[in-house]
Amino acid sequence: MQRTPTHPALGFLVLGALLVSSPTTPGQSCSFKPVLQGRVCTKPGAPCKPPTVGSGNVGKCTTEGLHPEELACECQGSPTPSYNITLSPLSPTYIDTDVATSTITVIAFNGFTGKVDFSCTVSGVPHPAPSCANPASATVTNGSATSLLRVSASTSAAEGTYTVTVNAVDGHGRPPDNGSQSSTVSVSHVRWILMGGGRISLLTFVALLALWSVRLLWRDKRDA
Amino acid sequence: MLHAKLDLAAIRMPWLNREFLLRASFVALFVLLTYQFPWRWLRFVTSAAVLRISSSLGMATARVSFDTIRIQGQLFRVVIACTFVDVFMGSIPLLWDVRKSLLRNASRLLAVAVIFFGLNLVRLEIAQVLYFRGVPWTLADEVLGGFAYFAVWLFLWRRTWRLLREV
Repeated sequence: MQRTPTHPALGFLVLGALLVSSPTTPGQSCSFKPVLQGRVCTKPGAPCKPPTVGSGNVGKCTTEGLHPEELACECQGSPTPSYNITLSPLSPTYIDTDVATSTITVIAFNGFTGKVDFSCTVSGVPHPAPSCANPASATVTNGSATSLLRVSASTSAAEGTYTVTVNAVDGHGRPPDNGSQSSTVSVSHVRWILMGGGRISLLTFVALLALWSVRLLWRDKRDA
Repeated sequence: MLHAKLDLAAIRMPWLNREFLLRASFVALFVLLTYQFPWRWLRFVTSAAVLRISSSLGMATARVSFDTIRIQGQLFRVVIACTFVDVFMGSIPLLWDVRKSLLRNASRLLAVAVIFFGLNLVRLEIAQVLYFRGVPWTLADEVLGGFAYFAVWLFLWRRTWRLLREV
């Protein structure tokens, strides 16, 4: 059975003591804000993103300098070298029996250097799906590095839209902070047509231009 | 035709004019610059317009991706050249009147952009209709494209010549 304060003043006393002893007021949520080098946490006790080392690896509620009534979640540990990967949209978005490519970019944080290995998977129905070769490893030396993702379809690949997912691990087996990245590609064996001017347009234009120039010169001569 | 009746004997040919050469150099630069950008939004807008017009003409249409549309079961991909943006960008140095204010030039270019966009849609749609009536795509789209470029050239020629003559 829970004991209740026998006097209302005692309850206020307990509440007051709680308010003084802890920066986190009961019922008050801790706001979050980005701190140096983009490390943020969403709530006290939550892991910092990107991760930090030491005791500051989890978020801690602190009071703001000018606003002591406001609490903020901060990550105070020294930063761990880490990385993110980004994937540009696969281009072309539609393939028949050709190859779609995408650039994988490794973005280093906190002085991350080293080799990053990639693997890729193609998911989606129907089957057989197009294939992707594991992209070449990228070595980060100066803040970022790139690699090329290639997805190829053969005549036997089924028509449909597929998701291509790229996973990465560094030399210590750590994945990127932002996890695996995906892009989509569609397979169609219906021949598509490029709209717009091509070589024949240009040739037609040049031929018309030549005819027009001759006519201008002829008229010029006649008028003279 | 767009060609104006001009007294050719009274003026020097523009290609001998230094200003014309400068403007021509800028044309090349602007066109090169145009192809440095993907123009995804314009390719989307152009394909959307073609899609709507084709649909209103009773064709079966569907969007496949931002730049690819399916009309009557045939896939069409809208590339940069298909948007006429290269033609428009290349026109800017030829249409810019240095004696007019920035606002005046900008509003004139905006009008030209709208006209070019409309002209482009017309030629793309004509190409579609011709193609589905059995005309080969090379003839329906590319030769027609050549004529569209030439129409733009005549317009620009008249404008540029007038500009150079007034200087």
